[in-house]
Amino acid sequence: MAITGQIALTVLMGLFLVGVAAWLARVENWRSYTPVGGGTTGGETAYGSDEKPAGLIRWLTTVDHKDIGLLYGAFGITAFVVGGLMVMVMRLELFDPEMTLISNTYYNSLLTSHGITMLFLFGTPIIAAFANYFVPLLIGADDMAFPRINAIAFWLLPPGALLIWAGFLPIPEVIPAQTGWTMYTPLSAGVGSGNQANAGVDLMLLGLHLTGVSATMGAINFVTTIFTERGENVSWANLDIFSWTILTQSGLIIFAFPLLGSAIVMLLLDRNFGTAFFINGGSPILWQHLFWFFGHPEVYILVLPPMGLVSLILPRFSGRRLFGFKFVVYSTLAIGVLSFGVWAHHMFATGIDPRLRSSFMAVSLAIAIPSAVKTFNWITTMWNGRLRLTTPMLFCIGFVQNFIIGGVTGVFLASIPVDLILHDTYYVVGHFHYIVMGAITFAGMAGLYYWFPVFAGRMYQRRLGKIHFWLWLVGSNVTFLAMILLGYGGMPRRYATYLPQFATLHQVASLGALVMFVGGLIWVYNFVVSWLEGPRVEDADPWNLKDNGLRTNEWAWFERKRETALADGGEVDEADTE
Amino acid sequence: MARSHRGPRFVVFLYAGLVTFAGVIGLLFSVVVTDPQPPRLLFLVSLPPTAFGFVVYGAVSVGLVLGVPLAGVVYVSRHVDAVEAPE
Ligand code: HEM
Ligand SMILES: [Cu+2]
Repeated sequence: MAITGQIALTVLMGLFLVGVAAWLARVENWRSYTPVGGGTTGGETAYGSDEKPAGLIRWLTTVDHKDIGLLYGAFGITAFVVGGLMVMVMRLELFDPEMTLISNTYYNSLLTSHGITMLFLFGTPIIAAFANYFVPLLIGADDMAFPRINAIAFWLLPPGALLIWAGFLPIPEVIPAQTGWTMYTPLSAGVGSGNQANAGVDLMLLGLHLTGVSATMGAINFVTTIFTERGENVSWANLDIFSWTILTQSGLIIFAFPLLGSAIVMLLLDRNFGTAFFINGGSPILWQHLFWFFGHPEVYILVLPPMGLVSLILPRFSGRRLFGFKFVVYSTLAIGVLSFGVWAHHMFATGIDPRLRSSFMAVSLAIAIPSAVKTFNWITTMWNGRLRLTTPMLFCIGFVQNFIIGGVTGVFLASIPVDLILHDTYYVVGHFHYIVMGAITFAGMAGLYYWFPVFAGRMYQRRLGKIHFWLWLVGSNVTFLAMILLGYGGMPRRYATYLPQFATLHQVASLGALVMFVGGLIWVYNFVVSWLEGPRVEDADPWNLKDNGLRTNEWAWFERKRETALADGGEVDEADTE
Repeated sequence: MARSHRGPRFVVFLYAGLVTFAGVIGLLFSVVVTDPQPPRLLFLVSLPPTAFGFVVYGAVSVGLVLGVPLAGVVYVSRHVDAVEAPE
């Protein structure tokens, strides 16, 4: 009975899929997207925007890198809002020591989901948004090397997100994972009397796997694009800094994400088919090695492109070129290589061989050097410059400030004796939030504000942009400084309740989070309203980059686009607002 | 368009901010941690385990860690930066 039911369901789903395919084939003439001439004609796309279908169909079927960039952006920002709301609930719960607002298990679920959402559904995709939209423009390519793979890579993300969030949806018998973003075994293998054998964890693992496949496809595409699709006048010597960081990041993704995928499959096998990788006699520590062999490169996957954004944007508002460009590129590559040699600094407290430990400590200290080189170059660029404190510039400077604090706190953690005291305290949470929120997200904002005129065709409200920046700068420092101090005081991470002596600092941290939340609201308001009815960009060089000879290719493209749009009867409106 | 600011002023301001920040952490550290050990500046000079000691420890350590590279920035800006790097 049950079997026939399932067969019937399968057949039904199959028919449904065939139906969808047939419908798509009817509404869409796929051939029209084929770029003619293999892209050697330079500067021209074979299909104009007027060939694109209208409305929803356009967005479902697009293979244009700019459209896909916007899709990535919309997806990433949605995930950022979701992850942000999750953490606001957590910070409210942490306002007092007891369990009040939500249950402890629900707190754990939110904690897990917040981390995974921010890293895999916001961080990686928002970087892909910039990369998709701007790398082809910066390097003078027609499009990505594989436009359809590009689209597939994006479309793996929404189902991935649904699977990751499945536990929160009203599905009977499915509960959200509570494993933390690191999914340490044996907890995540579902053993013991806990509830982590639940299918919600399996769904989350499958969702993560999808996002990993997506990131890998994207990375292969970027590497190929940067190697083979550069315009005639773009050589390795004058490749812009953002594309360099995307190239390095893609290399890291190609080596790191498949490993995560394999580890996830092993975990799924352990959970569902009785294999013995991590449990049943296998080694739980093996999981930590596999996870962090991916996990530490992942943090550089997240930070390198934002460093590229800062290296690109900061000089534009310092009125001069980036100081020591070559060294910035070299240190990017050095970080890329070294990042695979530090993973065990997350495992100092697990009882691994002390000799191994000290070599990982040495490499972890060494990797701080190329990061310091970059910081040195940014500061020198500013020193000899004349600074224009626009919103994107402010966010770049905020990046530098927070990155220094995050980096210095990280170097301390890399020292074994210090780490043994601070490991698994709020100090670690403070450290990495200085980087992931204070630096990476700030750089993302710098990029969004800097290129807003390009992708929206309009200008945001400058005052609101600045208010957003200051609220975030103050909020992030209040929150994460409080976390550092909580760690010094001995507050362990990942708890919904705590001893009364930590109440004040937790309240300060929650207050800072609230300040950031208000900043976030202002940002969303500003972007939505400005996108819809902000003043049109009248000038293809809204930042006056030409004055200092600092204009990069994407602005030249923007100017050409505006001119052609005016020439053929002023379709600016259509092209710009969609 | 925002008016422009002179780079050195701004960077020194940033530096001062970060050093102050380290001092503040030192101050709050002495409040948060009960019964701390006396800090040893640069592993050499022993300071009293008081608020004052930790403020000095934090501010001077970070002041040096960032100050030495900053001196490097000043030097490089004077002598090397005249030659523009390609981009
Ligand atoms: C550059 C960007 C960086 C990012 C995005 C980053 C991110 C992170 C994250 C997410 C964690 C916590 C992992 C967990 O959940 O347990 C972490 C921990 C750690 N980070 Fe960083 N980090 C960065 C830089 C650094 C640097 C420069 C160092 C040192 C040279 C460093 C050393 C450490 C150490 C040792 C830990 C482990 C602490 C412990 O768990 O006891 N990090 N970092
Ligand atoms: Cu790490």
